[in-house]
Amino acid sequence: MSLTITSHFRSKMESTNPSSIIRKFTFNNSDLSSKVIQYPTITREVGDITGESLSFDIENASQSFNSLNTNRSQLLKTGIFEYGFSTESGTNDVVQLFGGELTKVNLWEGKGKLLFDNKLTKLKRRRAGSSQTPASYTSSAYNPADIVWWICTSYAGLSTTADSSNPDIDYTSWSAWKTILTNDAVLVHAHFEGDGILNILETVQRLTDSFIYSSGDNKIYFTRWFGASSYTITLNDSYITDKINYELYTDSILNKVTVQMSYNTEQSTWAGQVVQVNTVSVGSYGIFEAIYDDTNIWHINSVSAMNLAQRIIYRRGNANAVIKCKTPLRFLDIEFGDDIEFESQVYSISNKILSLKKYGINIETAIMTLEMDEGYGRGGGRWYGFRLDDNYNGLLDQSYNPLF
Amino acid sequence: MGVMQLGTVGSYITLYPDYKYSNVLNLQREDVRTKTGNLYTYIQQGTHRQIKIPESWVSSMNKNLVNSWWQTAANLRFIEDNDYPSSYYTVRILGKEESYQSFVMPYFNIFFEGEIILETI
Repeated sequence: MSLTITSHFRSKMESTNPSSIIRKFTFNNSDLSSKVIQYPTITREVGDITGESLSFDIENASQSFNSLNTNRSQLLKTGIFEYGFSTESGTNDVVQLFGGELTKVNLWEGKGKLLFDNKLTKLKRRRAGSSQTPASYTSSAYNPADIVWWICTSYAGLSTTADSSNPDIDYTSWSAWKTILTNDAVLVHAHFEGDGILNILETVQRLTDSFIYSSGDNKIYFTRWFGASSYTITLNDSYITDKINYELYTDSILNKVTVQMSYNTEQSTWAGQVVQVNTVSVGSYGIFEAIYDDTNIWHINSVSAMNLAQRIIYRRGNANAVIKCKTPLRFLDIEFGDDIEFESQVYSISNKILSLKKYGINIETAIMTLEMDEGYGRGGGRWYGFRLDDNYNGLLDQSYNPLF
Repeated sequence: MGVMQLGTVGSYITLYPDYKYSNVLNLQREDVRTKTGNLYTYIQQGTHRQIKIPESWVSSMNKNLVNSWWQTAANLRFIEDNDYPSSYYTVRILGKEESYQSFVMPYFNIFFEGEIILETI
């Protein structure tokens, strides 16, 4: 789901000589851009729920930050970094590329570093239930999206606002994710006795073959690759600045998957299991096996368990190719889940649809690093139905005469 | 053409730069070239000017004044040509060591030489 930007922003972002660039760092609602010596590189990776911490190099010759020593309640206050362009009318047209809470201050004479953790890092500090009063979701069949919602709002303190104004959870992506899980009949039970919220979300990622991540706006996003993305960028030599790195590896292969189902928390037993094998992959590579047997969250029937097992063995049945390259700051709006139509003369690759796996935005050098993966994309068995006249699925036979 | 001046309002000294005087505008600029040869240029907010003024035959009085400005990180006005005194840069003297460090031989403790490095603030 790409970032929402204005047409003015897009025009400037795609320009080869964008003017009136704005870099704005605010801390605790004060604009401290003039104090920044060096901006950090913003890095995100799919599946990394909290994202990486960021440190801003600042000047303290002015002793502006000495107040942090006397007023320590400023710790955990919000720092925001915005990037964009000013309009002809003088207003700021920016997007938020990072938001976080101040967790560490390091000063040395006239300079210093302010380290910000993503706001969602607090998920590491919060827990669901306890051994005395477990958080138990076993009385009905639950969509995992609902359990995530309840855990995040009831136990992690995230906003309960059930619309797009929710400041913590991207409600749009959560709703879409829930619908996909509903359509796939994914149903689970869960039981938590003081488990960390972050660990729970990581387990849900694994058990639903989904990706949960934070974006620059400090919200949690949810994605389960399904169907073609609504947003595609074309990436070719016109936009690539350096050598293209191509990696092909077998680490990610999984072609035999066992999913345990219907766990009995009192007897610590499973009622059954589903085993799925990608025989073509096994024939090529031998067995790469995984067992899904988490006792905090589990599938409650064979349809649900089968859905996971089949997704995994087909999506990860083949060796995975990862392509890394660098571009100017031309794709600032790209996000995980967006398609990248990749072309490279060097590797004789054309019209290859890849998915974004990791990206870095170096504000200082004006370079983006993109790491793309075919394992999550169409080549690896992305789950979508059909696309007419498609390079991957097959082009229509132009010689076919429908009149006969 | 007038002379070069440095100081605070109403209290300027005249500078007589040697060769290699420079006045350079620094942009926070990144030029990024793609594989097909397209050039992307990003000029970020934040520019500054650095002025280097090598000088000899500096009097003891001026040397002390410049060093005191340097020691106190004073905000100064740099007038490149005092025929146009309203055209000036607001600057500070940079460096971890004082600007004038050596003597002009054989005028020990009378005339000094060195280089002032100024940057706009």
